[in-house]
Amino acid sequence: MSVQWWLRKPYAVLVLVLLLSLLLGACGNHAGPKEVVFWTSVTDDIDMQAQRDIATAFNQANPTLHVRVVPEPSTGIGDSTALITSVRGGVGPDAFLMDRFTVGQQAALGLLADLYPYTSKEQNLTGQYLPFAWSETQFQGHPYALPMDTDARVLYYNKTVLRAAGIDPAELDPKNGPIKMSKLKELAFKVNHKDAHGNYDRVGFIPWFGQAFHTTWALDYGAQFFDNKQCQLTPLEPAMLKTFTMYHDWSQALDFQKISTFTATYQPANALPSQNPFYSNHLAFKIDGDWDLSSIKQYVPKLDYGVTYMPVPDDRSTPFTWSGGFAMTIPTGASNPDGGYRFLRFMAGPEGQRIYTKETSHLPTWKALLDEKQLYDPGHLFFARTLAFSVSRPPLPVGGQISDELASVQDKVDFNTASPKEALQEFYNRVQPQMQQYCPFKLEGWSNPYK
Amino acid sequence: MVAVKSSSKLSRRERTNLSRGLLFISPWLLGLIIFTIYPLIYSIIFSFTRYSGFRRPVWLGMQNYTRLFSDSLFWLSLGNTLYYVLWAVPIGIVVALLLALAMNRDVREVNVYRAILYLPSILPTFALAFIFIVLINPQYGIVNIFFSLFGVPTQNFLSDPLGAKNVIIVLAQLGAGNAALIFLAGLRGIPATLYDAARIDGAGVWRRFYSITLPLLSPIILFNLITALSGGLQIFQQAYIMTNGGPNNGTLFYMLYLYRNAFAYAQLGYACALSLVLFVIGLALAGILFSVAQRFVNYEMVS
Amino acid sequence: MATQVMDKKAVATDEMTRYRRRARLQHVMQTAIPRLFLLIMCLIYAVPFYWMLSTALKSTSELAEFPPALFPRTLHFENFVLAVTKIPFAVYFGNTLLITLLTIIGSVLANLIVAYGFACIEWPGRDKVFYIVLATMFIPFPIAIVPQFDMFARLHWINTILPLVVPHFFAGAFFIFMLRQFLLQIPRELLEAARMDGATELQIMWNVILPLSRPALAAVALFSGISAWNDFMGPLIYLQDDLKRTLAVGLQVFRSTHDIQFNLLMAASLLTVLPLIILFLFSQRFFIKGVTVGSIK
Repeated sequence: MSVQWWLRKPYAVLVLVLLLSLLLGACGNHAGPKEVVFWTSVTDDIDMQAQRDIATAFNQANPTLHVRVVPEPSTGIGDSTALITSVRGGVGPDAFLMDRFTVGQQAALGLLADLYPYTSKEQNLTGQYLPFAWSETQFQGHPYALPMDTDARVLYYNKTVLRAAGIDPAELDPKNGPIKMSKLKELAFKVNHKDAHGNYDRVGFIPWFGQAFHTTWALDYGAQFFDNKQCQLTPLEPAMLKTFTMYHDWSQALDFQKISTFTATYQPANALPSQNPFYSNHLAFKIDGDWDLSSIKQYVPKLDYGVTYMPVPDDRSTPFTWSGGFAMTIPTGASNPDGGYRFLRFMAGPEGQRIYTKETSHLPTWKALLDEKQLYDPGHLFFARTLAFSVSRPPLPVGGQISDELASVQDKVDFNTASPKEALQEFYNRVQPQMQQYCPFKLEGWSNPYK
Repeated sequence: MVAVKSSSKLSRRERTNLSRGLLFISPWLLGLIIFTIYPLIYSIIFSFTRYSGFRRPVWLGMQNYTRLFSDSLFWLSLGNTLYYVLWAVPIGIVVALLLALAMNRDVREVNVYRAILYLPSILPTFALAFIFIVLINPQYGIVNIFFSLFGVPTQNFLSDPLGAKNVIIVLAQLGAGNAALIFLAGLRGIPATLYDAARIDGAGVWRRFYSITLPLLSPIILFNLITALSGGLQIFQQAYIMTNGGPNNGTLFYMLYLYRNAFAYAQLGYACALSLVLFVIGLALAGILFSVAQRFVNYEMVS
Repeated sequence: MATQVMDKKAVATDEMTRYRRRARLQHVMQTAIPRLFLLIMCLIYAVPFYWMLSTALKSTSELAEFPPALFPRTLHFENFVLAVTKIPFAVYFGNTLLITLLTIIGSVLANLIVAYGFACIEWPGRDKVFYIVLATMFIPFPIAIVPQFDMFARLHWINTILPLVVPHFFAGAFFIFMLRQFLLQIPRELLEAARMDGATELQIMWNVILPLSRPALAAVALFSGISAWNDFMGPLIYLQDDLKRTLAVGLQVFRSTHDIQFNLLMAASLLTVLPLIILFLFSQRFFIKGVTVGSIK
């Protein structure tokens, strides 16, 4: 009786369900030897379509291989949980499209395969890519990725707002070269306007809005970030101090809290990406990337705006921009690395990047494609031109932490809870011990030309 | 373990009960070993190493633990988390209890209320976060309009480290539906005859609440307290999605800092040390809460 | 005479209606405060849902308006169609449903059995072991991710739903604790009486305890169902095949690096949570009915 009970009721169901799910699971493993499993962390539908098209083109050109595209959304910036776990578990992909900025860090962890055995057999592959993009794939002098797409940051100006403040937008034409910081400040403060309650209803420029943030300015002022000889971070180099002194001056002059109220009003936390004081004619200048073009086209097609080079320090007149983007890698322990490399070479080479540029309107890193004018919208051409002046973030193995800690420095200076020097010293104290474990380390192939 | 050691002294009845009890909890025991003890041992070992989760770990001895005590963000995130727990847990219990009591009333359209009040517990967090905008927008938000009636200047709560924490505490109350539902299930377990008898004896609403509802609901209150404590110490998602720890690290909660170390900085060894410290803090707080609360908890139905 | 009777009757009915009216008034007065409270709370609690709905029905250009419009100017129901056709919605839906159903079955069964062991059988050392259950609630989740993945990879369970489902058949601290608290409230006399009648523990659990703990079990089903349905991290790392993914992961299609198609994301999210709302309405039945423990005593 008791035995029957055991079998009849809950456990019977349990056992059955277990068996059922075992069966279901068993049907899942049928990987062919010629398959190239390709993971991508860029998963929105336009980019997915482009990647599928590239895979199809590759499969047609290479009948012995078959690429399977698997979307692998990221859980956060720099979060590589899925990659770490699957590489450990021996179930990683053969090719992976990831944020190029994190290549240095992932290579340092041992998650990525060294591509030198492949690239060294090629004729001048290095020279085919934009130098800043290529340098971002390097770790200890070897490439760990092939650059894919890129982007560029520029100064957007809202003509409606400028005219309302009595400024002629023609002043900003890129023909006049990049605008100097002091000039930008002068114009921006002319635009600032407060309502009867003392709240801003029109602002000129916010150096911590959009793509204007710590790293943007540090690169613009010429920061080197790292000293190869000493294997030390360089938080107190002049460019860093200038960057955060600039933050201090602007946040004091604008009143940081008042600007917070302004941005929270016109672009609240978690607002739709389309809700933006620049789009609604409350902000005159912003630094943003080329992707903003398609957002404007989509959300505010009637916006009267222009673009010019990023503002530069007063003692310089060369244009400047910095670029991010994605890169193709082969994770460690891939079951088909040779097939993986052939796909890498195709996708990050001219064939793949041409399809990608055309379908996604991202910018390519394959130099020759920049001359194929038919690939770009007229509005995009200016961005393609600025790439000649572009620089990438330094591919340090602690890049993610540097970025978070610099954000802390920026907050402290904006809130005026620490001087730039104090905050940067704290930054050094926190990050250098993490950097130390990779010493001796050389940042090869990367340097900031704007020093 | 205690049970096994002294089993020789047990009576026959106790012994059969022991084997029956162990049989019933055996699924959990098995799961405990596989899914909890194993990872726990794993992380205890790695907390003494530098480990990226990938290459071979490097033995550090106590270094991760000494580093922790001089890590300003460890203290800051611990402070933020304790502040959150201290406010969000009691407020959460009161809100959930109020909701449950209200939902337990004999109101015809109560089904509609119940469904709406539970809705935020089903929705994704990023949708909940939107209530931010509606409530605290400096210009159009209800909160600021309310304050401005008293001449308080409009402000952006999220730009202030303390204000942002408070906003997350208030926002967490949208998730009160779960706890309220558990309370409701508990309220439904209280026999109506008790209330009838009390009413005949002339007990008022408050008296009935204090002498019937509260004591009979005490096991459920204890449950909700402990789970709220465990959830509060591990508060993560709201800050991860909405503020990413800012402003000025004002919402850098312990779990967020831990998560960054583990998965963004690949410092799994240090993250393990952080985990174990949080575990110990949680156990200590739960132990205090449990031993204090146990005195007030009433498990037997009294008529 | 006749008129007198009529009068009396009239008076009586008059008094009756007056009494009834007073009673009704009293009821309205008594429920006025809870009603008002519930109404205000509902208004607040409905905002996120309303915002999702109104966003889902807006056109792209309307998304950019400032301040955001409360009502969409025209209702773009086609957003729902677009949202469903952009991802293999039916496939993801089926996958999610299977995982959720198995999770619910596992959670309800396993937790009921284990909680019974902790609440209804007196065995030496029980409460000390129970403290271990509580203790496991305080283990931070990130430390389990890596070792568990290693284990499942060694079992070749990657790309199957097993890592997502099987652990639920081993019960979990939250639900054990919850059910234990409820089961402890059930009068001991009931258990003793059943044991006197010669029922086995499993029989008691199934025939006596199960019917009495339906609201609590409904809560277990509901909570485990919701968390399985909305789980993101689990399916992301364990299900690597595109067509094996769940809805929560599939929704990422509407996010790009710099922009989000909010109207489509909201439309798809609403369709995603719809089954959960139905699950809630279904389980609500159990919460309303309640249990009739009192009547037995």
